Amino acid sequence: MSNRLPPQPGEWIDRTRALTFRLEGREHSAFAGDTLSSALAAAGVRTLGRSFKYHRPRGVYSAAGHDCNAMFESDAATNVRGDTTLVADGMDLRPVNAAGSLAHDRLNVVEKFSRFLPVGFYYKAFHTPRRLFPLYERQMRRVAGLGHIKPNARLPASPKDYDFCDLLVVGAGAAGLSAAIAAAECGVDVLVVDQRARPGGSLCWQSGQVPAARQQLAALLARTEELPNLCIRAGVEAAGWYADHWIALVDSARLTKLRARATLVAAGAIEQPAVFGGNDLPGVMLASAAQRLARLYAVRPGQRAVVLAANLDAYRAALDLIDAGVQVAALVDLRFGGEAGELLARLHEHKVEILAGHAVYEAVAGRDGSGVAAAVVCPLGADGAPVVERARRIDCDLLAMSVGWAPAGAILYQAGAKFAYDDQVEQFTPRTLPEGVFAAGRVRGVYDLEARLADGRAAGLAAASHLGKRQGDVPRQSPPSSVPHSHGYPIFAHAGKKNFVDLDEDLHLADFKNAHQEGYDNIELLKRYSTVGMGPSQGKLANMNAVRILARLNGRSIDETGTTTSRPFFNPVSLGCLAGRRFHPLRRTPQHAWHAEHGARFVHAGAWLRPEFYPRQGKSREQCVLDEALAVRQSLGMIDVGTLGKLIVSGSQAGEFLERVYTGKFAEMKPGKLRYALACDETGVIIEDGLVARLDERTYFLSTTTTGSASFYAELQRWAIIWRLDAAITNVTGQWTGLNFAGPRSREILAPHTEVDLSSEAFPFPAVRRGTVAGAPALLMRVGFVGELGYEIHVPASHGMHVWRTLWQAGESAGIRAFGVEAQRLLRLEKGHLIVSQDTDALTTPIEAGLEWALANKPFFIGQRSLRIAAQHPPSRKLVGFELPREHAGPWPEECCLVVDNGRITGRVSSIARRSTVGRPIGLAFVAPAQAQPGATIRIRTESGRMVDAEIVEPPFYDPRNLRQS
Amino acid sequence: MTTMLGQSMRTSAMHEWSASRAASWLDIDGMRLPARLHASEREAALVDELALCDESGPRKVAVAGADAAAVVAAAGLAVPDERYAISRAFDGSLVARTAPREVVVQNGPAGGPVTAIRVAGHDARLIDNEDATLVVAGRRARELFAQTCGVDFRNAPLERLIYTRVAGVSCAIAPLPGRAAPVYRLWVDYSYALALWESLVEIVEGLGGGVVGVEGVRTV
Amino acid sequence: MKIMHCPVNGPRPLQEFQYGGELRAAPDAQTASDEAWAEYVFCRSGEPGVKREWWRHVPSGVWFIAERNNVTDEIHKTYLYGAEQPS
Repeated sequence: MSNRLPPQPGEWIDRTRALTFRLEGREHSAFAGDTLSSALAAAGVRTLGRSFKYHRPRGVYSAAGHDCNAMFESDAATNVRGDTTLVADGMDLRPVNAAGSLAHDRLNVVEKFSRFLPVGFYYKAFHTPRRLFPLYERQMRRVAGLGHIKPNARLPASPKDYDFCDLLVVGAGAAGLSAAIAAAECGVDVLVVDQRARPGGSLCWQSGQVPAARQQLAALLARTEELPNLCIRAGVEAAGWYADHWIALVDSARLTKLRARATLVAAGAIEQPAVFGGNDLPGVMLASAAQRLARLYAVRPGQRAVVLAANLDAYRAALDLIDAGVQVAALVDLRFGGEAGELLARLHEHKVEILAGHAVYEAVAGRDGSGVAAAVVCPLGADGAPVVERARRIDCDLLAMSVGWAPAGAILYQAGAKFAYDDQVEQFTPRTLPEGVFAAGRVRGVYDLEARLADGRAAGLAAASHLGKRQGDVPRQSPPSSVPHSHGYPIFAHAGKKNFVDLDEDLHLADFKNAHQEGYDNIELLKRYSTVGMGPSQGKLANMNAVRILARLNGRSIDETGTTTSRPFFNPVSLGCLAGRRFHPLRRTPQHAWHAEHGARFVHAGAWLRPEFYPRQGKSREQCVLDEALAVRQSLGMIDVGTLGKLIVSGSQAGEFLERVYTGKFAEMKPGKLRYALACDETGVIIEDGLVARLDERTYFLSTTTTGSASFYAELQRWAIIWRLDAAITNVTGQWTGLNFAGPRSREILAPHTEVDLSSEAFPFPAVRRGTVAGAPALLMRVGFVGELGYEIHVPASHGMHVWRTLWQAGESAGIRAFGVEAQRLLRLEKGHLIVSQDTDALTTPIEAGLEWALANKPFFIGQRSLRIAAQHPPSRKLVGFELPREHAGPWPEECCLVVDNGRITGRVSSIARRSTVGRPIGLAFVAPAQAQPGATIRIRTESGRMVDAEIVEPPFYDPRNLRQS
Repeated sequence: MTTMLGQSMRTSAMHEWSASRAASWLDIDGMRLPARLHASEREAALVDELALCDESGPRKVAVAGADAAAVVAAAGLAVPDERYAISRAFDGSLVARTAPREVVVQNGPAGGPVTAIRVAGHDARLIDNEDATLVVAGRRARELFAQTCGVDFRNAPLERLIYTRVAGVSCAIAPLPGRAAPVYRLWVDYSYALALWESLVEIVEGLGGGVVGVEGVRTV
Repeated sequence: MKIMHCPVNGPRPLQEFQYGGELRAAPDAQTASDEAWAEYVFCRSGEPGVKREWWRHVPSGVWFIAERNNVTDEIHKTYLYGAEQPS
């Protein structure tokens, strides 16, 4: 049966474009512009979904996404919302919460047990006995939740955008457009967003009995076209407000991170349902839903209607239904006085029975159970309760409710607005707004069209004044409506039926009474216990009634009861949209392509990618690492050290500056010399080490660790500001790159490629020289980190690849090997050099690390005062070298394995190498000072729990007299 | 420190990316860069629409110290007073006041003034600046920044450096007036340049733009 | 996302900044007692109110001082170290 009406003025569908889609395998037709809900309603499908808990049939309720009755999924998407998703040709959908089909849902038996499923049932029932919990959990996970996650689904990356404007207007209805125009006319750059497919707000669908509305909308839109600084984006939702007018805008494709300078909310009001028996049946809906179906989508919402009223809007809706070909059997007005005037006269003309002072007590389901077949109507007694004895039944297949509105104030609440209940209009309205935040229209309780336009204009001008685009007085905004647009308590308990308050969570009136009885008499507690407002529609139709119910149960006012906190997002936002496109800024050295070409295995070191080692066919990682280290010991190796932090400090007081930063002495160091440098923080803990080379009187070159350089540089900048010395720091970490050319043959191979005299006399260890290497400007440093004759060569980044390739070719005759960070770790371990942040932790002092020799006797360095205090107490641990017997074959201690002494933890392993060029397993460990004597034995607990004995030895393990480096 | 010019000893951070895509090459200050990736008409169209280009060749130096502005001026260059202001000479070279006591000078595409700067005897030192230079051109450039950067480029003045983050990478952006729309030069640390480049290429191509060679952006 | 005004680079989103701890005066290392020194290096005030804090604009490397109310998260003013006497 088709419910499609002939063309309606202003309809949103395009009848020239017919589409088809499938639901549960059945094909349906639609027009472009139809939502899934409207297309199904047009096709006569009444049950659009099954409810969360009881699997009750549910139909169109708000037709605006304020409920989540219609939720579907496809292979591409989960939780597709019927009210707000436009039909696309070829969609293939399933309902999210039907066991079986929408028409026959096996799990609707749950309702038969509902007596045994009171509010809080799950909290109470399923925690004992504990051993059964996994079973409960499995079962509950199967029935709870909506839809299925497809972990393997591939969706196109949705980019995120930044955008900017002076004023964001949320809502393109009468008030919003009026405000936007007023502000734009003052020169404000305005962006208007509206979650609906087209601008106009209620002017689009509530205009049937307001002849001026359509002309007004046309005039407003025409004016917006003339203003180049006014932009309207329809189909975009303001999903959340964050500090300093940062607003998340969500559309079907992406998230826009909008930065506005001011925010104006004219988001209107959300129609609220009445609570009575069976008020969730398909065919029971908000009057606004019936109007939207008829006006926007040309769908007749029913054949024969009963309208439940508590305001003028209901009378207009009844006339709209008549216009749409619906027979209106009766208008049931909760107010004893009803409505007078022209609208009433017109309803009389159409022979609509007006029942003032009556309520709908129950919606009765038809025989097939699929939807409403009649309304049970009772007169109201003097106490406001229905007089059930005088109930009568009126047949209908549509029960349209217009009993009240709640402000769509989420963005205002999030921005920090304070709302209070207005007893005249019977609605929460904003009373205080934060700076730069404005509101207009129904969200403020202003309902009359002329008043909304004036209200918007005044708010727009106020925003323009705030933004400095306008001088002079701002007109006062319109006062809220002096007549109520909402009923104070539209709740009529049917003793034998479920009176639903929250459709998302299947919560009914009795659940609230039970929760209250159990002591949940505060709105925030009640929310958490009952889960009211926690479903996908976030309480848009439930929260206001929940507040009214709780207020009455507590015998307190609405203001005293308050509301729950409004948090982003206004509507659910897909995770893909939130994730957006992700950026992974990796640092690569200029030589990276060479390493990749040579099969390097890379490892992350801070933001950098570094070669860990260079795998070789048929050789284990350990063997490859050892081979690389042996090449350095026996002939020649080359490692990319472009990742090292590099700083230049210059100025007349550069030496003084370094003496304050580092523990050693540098001011008297001669140009051309270099020295190990150690830095502590104010607590005396080691934070950095590296080399300091003096290039000339005024200039020093510093190298730092790979991972610590960025934060160390920032700290030095700060000290330079505080100390006000003539010392400027330049970070050249990325500007320069480097390599270490190491091994007994390094000197002879390098010599032909530099004019620098490499002889020991001219260029001793340790020292620095400036010159060129392979034609590139270079700094050459004789360093000892790996314990062989070697040259650390730094060149400008763009020269790095050329220098690397040149020296690589030169070294081929000497059997050069490229070595990675693993071989370097082994080589330095053999020399007993520690690595800051591997062999030290957040508490390690130079005293514990055996670096007292690096603490110079001088007036001041950072950490000196704390170290002086530390030196008065015996240290609790010492970093020492240890070795295992040459023939040890396991079990193997790993880094971080504990050192145990008589069942007491005394330390841990910080570095270990199973195989080394010295022929036995070696490592560094923290131990108790009493265990630190060379020759002592320590016990290490391996991962398997087995203990291994190791002998303390004095490092270095290799070439203790540094003969190899000369 | 001197560099040997003309021998392509310098390598751009984007070299490997370009190697398989460049149609022709040229050499700027010793760095080989793609002259063209497409036919000139196609590149001209991209440059109008949305184009990305690696222009890392022209040498840059930072001159730092109390006399920085004076020694740069002594080399015949106009040095802006205001922090972050940029001036551009006829030969395409740029002078940017990066800090009260620091000036960055970048050569034009056909060489330029960097080698003429003499610091001896002054409180100034020369530090080679090896930042990569990426050019973003075209009337849709702002759409690229909308997806990668939190700065409002609608209201950003031209000829003023902006230090910000693009696609998670810190960089300095120099917006300069162009023939049809502003042209943006991004100075980014050499070691981060390839990561930024890869992110930008993906977005530029998604927006219907493309990568062009140095010849392609000459006309903007 | 909050906006912070860098005295050199102007208003920028907070994600461009890093926090550097509260601005605190160090006692004289030569004359301070061990207790006073330990108090300085190990103890931080969690007292609510307006704090003077170090912040750094990461892309440009500019350090500055922000006066921020750590209860309301309002930033009252920002200035370069030493450029302005605190209010």
